[in-house]
Amino acid sequence: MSLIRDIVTSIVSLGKGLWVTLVNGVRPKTTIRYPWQRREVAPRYRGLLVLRRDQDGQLKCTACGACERVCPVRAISLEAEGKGKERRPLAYSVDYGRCMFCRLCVEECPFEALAMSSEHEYATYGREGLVKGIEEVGAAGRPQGMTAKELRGEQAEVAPAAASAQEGAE
Amino acid sequence: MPDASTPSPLYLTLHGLWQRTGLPEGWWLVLWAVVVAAVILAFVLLTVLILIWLERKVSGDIQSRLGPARVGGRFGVLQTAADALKLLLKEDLIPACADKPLFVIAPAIVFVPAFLVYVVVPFGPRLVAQDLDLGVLYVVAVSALPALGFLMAGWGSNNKYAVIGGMRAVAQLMTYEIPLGLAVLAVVMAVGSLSTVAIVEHQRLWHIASPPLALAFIIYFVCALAEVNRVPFDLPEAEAELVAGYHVEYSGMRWAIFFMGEYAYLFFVSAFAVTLFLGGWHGPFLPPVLWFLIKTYAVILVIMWVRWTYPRLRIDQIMRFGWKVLVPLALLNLVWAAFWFVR
Amino acid sequence: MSAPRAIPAPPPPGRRASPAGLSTEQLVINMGPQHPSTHGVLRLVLTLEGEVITDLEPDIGYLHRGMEKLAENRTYAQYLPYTDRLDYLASLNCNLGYCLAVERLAGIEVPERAQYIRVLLAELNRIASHLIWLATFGNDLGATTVFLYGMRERELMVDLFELALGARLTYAGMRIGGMPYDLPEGFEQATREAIRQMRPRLDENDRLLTGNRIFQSRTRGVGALSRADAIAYAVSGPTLRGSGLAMDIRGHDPYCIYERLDFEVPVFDEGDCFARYLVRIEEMRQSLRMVEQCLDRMPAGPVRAKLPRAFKPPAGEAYSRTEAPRGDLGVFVVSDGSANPCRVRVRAPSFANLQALGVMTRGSKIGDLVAILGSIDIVLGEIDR
Repeated sequence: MSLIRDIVTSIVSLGKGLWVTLVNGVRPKTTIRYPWQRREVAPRYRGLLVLRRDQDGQLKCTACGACERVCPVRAISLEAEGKGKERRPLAYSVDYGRCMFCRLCVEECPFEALAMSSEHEYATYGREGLVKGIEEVGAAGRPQGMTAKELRGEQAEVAPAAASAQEGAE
Repeated sequence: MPDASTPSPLYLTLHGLWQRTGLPEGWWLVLWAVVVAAVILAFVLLTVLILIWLERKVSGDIQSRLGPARVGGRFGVLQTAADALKLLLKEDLIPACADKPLFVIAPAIVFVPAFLVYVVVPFGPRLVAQDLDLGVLYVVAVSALPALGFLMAGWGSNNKYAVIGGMRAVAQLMTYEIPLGLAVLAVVMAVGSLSTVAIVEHQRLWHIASPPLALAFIIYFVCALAEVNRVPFDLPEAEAELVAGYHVEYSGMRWAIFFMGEYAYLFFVSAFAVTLFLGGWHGPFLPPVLWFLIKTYAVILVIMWVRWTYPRLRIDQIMRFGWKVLVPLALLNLVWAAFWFVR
Repeated sequence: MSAPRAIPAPPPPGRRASPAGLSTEQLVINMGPQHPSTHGVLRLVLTLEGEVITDLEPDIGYLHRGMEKLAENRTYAQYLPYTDRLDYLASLNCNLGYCLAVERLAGIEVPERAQYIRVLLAELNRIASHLIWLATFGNDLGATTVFLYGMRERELMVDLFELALGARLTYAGMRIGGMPYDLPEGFEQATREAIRQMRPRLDENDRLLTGNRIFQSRTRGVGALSRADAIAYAVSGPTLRGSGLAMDIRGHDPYCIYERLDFEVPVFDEGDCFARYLVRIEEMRQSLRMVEQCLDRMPAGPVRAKLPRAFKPPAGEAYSRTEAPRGDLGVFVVSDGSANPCRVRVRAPSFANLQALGVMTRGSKIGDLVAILGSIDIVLGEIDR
């Protein structure tokens, strides 16, 4: 009778469910025991901003303001000093309370001076702590992340991909 | 105390000490009752702590995560104690316009019966608080009391969600009392006595080995899940729907008492299942108490396993299942058991 | 029935006589905006007669952030991260809808490789979105374990996104004209590995839920939406395909390179929660197929069309229609020739789907409401914008 078959399939289905949970119960767990174990983030991870330096250890940033202008939420604010080739950032602050980690600033920077590092643990006790000035953003020794060219896989100034993009684009 | 024929040596020693002091016999009975009650209460509270930890660990295992793993070492054994401390320190909130007497008494009405039923649980050959001749009847009667507590909690909270949850809880509990009683009745019929100690002593061969009692065990198991408000029958306290139902307005220690009552009752229904169907404290080599606890925890693990696997049933499905499936099945089982055992 | 039925007027409040001669009272209850299972900040005002819902009124707007107004003050490129936050569970699909609209407006042709990558990522995002749906659906019905399993499976997808794009939820993974950068080394290998692990896990989920008697009794016959009603309410996506209409924009009106891919569109006729569940489960499997095909057939080439530094599309308007995991996502962009769009209007699939909730729920019980709401799969981010 279909009633009997119904009952049997119901009981079998319930049994299958129990089997699935049992099997999962004996598998190794997926928990990562933070803070003793931490997860490695991918190389392209979008973490805190970092100002890059050139071979002489100087910040590459020329305070042109491209990043400040492109930021959709106006998280970056900077002040410049000097003129022409000597132009350098006097102040450079990023408000991580506003930043949405979209990485548009990194892509806009014409000098490869900006990158997003792998740092993502930046909790503070007050909102003021979320505004990081140039001492922190430009600090040496931080994870360097990837600049726009590195993300695009270009090493040289004009890469083949960029050249063919100019050919292939309309 | 236990068996009228053979009191335990411990009892005899202590009674002897008392008799030497020359104080009245009546006081001895009272003192003994208080001591036994205190021991059981301590056991129940300790068990509740263990069960809550176990539940979290089992659910973690099934869900591919660790569960408590920090407080009290690698296995988080002190987690429940920490939570209990936290609950004690919480603000005691009674909602405005709540029916205060109902609101305050309801947790007690839920917890106390869950603790009272332990009187007839036979932990070992002479380890039972009071071997009542009407043990099983006592259990079924006292088990009906928490329903009143749920209703009081629901109504007394002055909250629509709580009222709905309370009514659902009572409907469910009342419904599933009946097949539960009928399944237990099959065992009583097999044994010929309502005393829990007699039922265990009858089980040289576990009751579950006889087919009608195996079916009675299944019916009992399902009803036990419903009585303890566990998935798939946990609609009265479903978080996703009624945001905790009848105890939505309770916080801190009051809520903890509900919780403790539920877990105490969980241990009890498992222990009762072991008593009725799984041979009680019978078992080779190990001390009987240990066997009893092992079997009870095995049943509890299965209950937890079921909880973390299935979705929950809707209230009308629960009611339909209870009345249209379980009650007829339990009645048929009773008839079958009658034919099986009275032959 | 052939014609959509009119919504019955709600019964008058107050005491009424029930058929048994008892006088009953209606209960008006508020579900939300904070509620474990309204999937966001949705407020539902329910009128209950015992357990039965006689009237339901959704109240939205709790997540309104002025997204469409914001667009008027951002450039086209700057607005892209905002589109992530519409349907935040399927942000790449929203990115895609927006990019397609702007590219149509400005007449930009996207390189082929970029289109393949877009489709690949969009389909992976579909799987991730459906996994969250599955997780929350199971959780609402009481199977908490399914929530954890769904999130665990989603990690496979999200790790791929982190590898390629650097983020795990709101990716800003596309740009006007293509992709911001190419896929990294090792992405193809990682994706194939993820697909390989994903298939048995979907089967395991079937064993846990699909055949489960309790699950079926909670979802079969619950929340029936007739085909006519579905069409009348402009329902789209899996909700529509669960009601018997085989309408998938990827098949009907293909964009990017969907016409080159080989996939099936699952359709079920019953229109109940179970049908919608089956549609989404099968869609996940089909998306896995599509991802594999994209990996197999992806050509080499540039990943972005060259755009002028100051991008100013000509004045005009364009509308793009994409199949987001929740349905028909429409993006309407109007340009006045300046660097900022004049107007961006988003037609959110969940908005229309939510309107059908009333029809699906009348006469159901509270327990069903949770199942039905879960099966429609709404995201308040795109409803409220």
